[in-house]
Amino acid sequence: RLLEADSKSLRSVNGSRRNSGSSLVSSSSASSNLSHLEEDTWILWGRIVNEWDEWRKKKEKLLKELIRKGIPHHFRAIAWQLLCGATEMPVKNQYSELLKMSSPCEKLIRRDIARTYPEHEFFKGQDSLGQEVLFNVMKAYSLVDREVGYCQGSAFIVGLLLMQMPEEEAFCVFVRLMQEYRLRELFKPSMAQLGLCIYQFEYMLQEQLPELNVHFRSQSFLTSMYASSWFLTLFLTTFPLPVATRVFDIFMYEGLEIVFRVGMALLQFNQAELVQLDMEGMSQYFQKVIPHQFDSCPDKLILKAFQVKYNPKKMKRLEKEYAALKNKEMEEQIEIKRLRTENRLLKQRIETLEK
Amino acid sequence: MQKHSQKEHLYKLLVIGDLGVGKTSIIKRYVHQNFSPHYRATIGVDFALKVLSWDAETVVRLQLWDIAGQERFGNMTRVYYREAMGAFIVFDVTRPATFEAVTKWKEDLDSKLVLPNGKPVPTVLLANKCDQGIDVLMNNGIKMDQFCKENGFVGWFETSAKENININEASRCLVKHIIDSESDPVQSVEPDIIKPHLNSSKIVSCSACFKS
Repeated sequence: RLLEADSKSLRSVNGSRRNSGSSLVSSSSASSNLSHLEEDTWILWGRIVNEWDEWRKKKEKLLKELIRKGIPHHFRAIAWQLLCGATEMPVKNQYSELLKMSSPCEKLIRRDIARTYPEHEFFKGQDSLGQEVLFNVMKAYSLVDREVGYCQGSAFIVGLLLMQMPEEEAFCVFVRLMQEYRLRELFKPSMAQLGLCIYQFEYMLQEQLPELNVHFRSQSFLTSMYASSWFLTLFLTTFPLPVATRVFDIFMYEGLEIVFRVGMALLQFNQAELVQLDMEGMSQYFQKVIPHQFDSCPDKLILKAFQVKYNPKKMKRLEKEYAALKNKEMEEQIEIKRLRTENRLLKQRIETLEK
Repeated sequence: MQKHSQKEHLYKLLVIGDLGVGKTSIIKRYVHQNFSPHYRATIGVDFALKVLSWDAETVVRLQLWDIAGQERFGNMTRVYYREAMGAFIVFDVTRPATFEAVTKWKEDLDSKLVLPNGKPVPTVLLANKCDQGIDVLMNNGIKMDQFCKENGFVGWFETSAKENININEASRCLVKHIIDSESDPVQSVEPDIIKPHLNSSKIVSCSACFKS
């Protein structure tokens, strides 16, 4: 059977990978006699998506490596759906019903539709298909998750999904990303997760690039000023799409960790220049220079990102620390409120007594 | 030759207001002298710089902070208010709801930020997109003057980033007020605390002291 043959050749891919540690792509197509690297990658990815469960369970390491090298464009739609487990979601059947309903967030969403990828062909023009489906998915989501509703930034993620797949599918993937990839926490009205991410990122900065950290502080250049959009849009508003999509591939498999990694890699790469600049210079540099440094070599960025030290245990500890900090802050706020009231009452009493 | 008579001022200005009122467009028009209907939504904060020759002796550098308009970003963006010297609050004349939000933005600003002399930062109100005609609000200039007086704005302008209307004027107005406010003597403010009047004849003692 075909499947058998396929799985055999897959085993050989894995085997040769283990043996040689290189040319894993070309070895996969021994049977197809193709010489072009691209075509080989295609064949390999064709197998991966056809035998997904097996890959996910037994060839995780290799799969991870392949994703880091970039999912071929034509496989992204299916690969992303598989990666986040969005292929068979009951919510998909609600989609057409949701579109008939009206959402309290509609006006807000409308405002941002034309301002999401305004330069991109698919989203150009008020009656374009792109704008229509983007609105549909954002609205549908705001109806299934009333607490989050709509948050600025999220439309860039949905927009990217829509460049790859039809709206129902994009909707399902987005629901998964919100539920399973911490995005929901990021976009909630309190945006508490963003605060945490910034806190964690700041810790990495302090530990790994102390000199730059001191410089940022001396210039009152706050982490959230440059890093907020990194987390909220997963670099989709930072890099041109070919680079950002590579980061997104990895995000789909490895989650938010890649944002920390890429962010730190960018700072490492630019440290020498940044310490020479004042606050205005740095802002310009982040807006103008950094986004285009890896246009022609996204692999270099990914490579650097995986050289960054990232300690999941430490991150967990920081999470607890941050929660405690926030709790204390909240308690203090309550205490301040209480004291203010008490203070006012005492003041009144003094006034009466002094009369 | 050194121009020792030239003074340079650096002012941090906030540009705030509801989502989609045209904050970014105003800044781009002011700083880069251009307009595009295709600016991206601002996620978090953006930043631009404008250098003005104020007069023969003075150069003014303006740091313009373009702050995301969605309410929930408030928790994050309030830290950017620190040390600002002035602000523009922007609304969209074609959408009354954005005007209704103006007082909310102003109150929020004043509660988060005061000048060293205890006064609120000079704030100019911008009625943007005035090129789009249909403005119910703007037909009544006197009413707007009244509104500004009541709500502590130092002035208001009908602006259009698209047609480049009044943006330079609004900025000059704001800068003028900032310069004026800087020369204002420091005033003491009434803080929200009780100062214990130890010499007061009526000392309210702790009840425990009388226990013995």
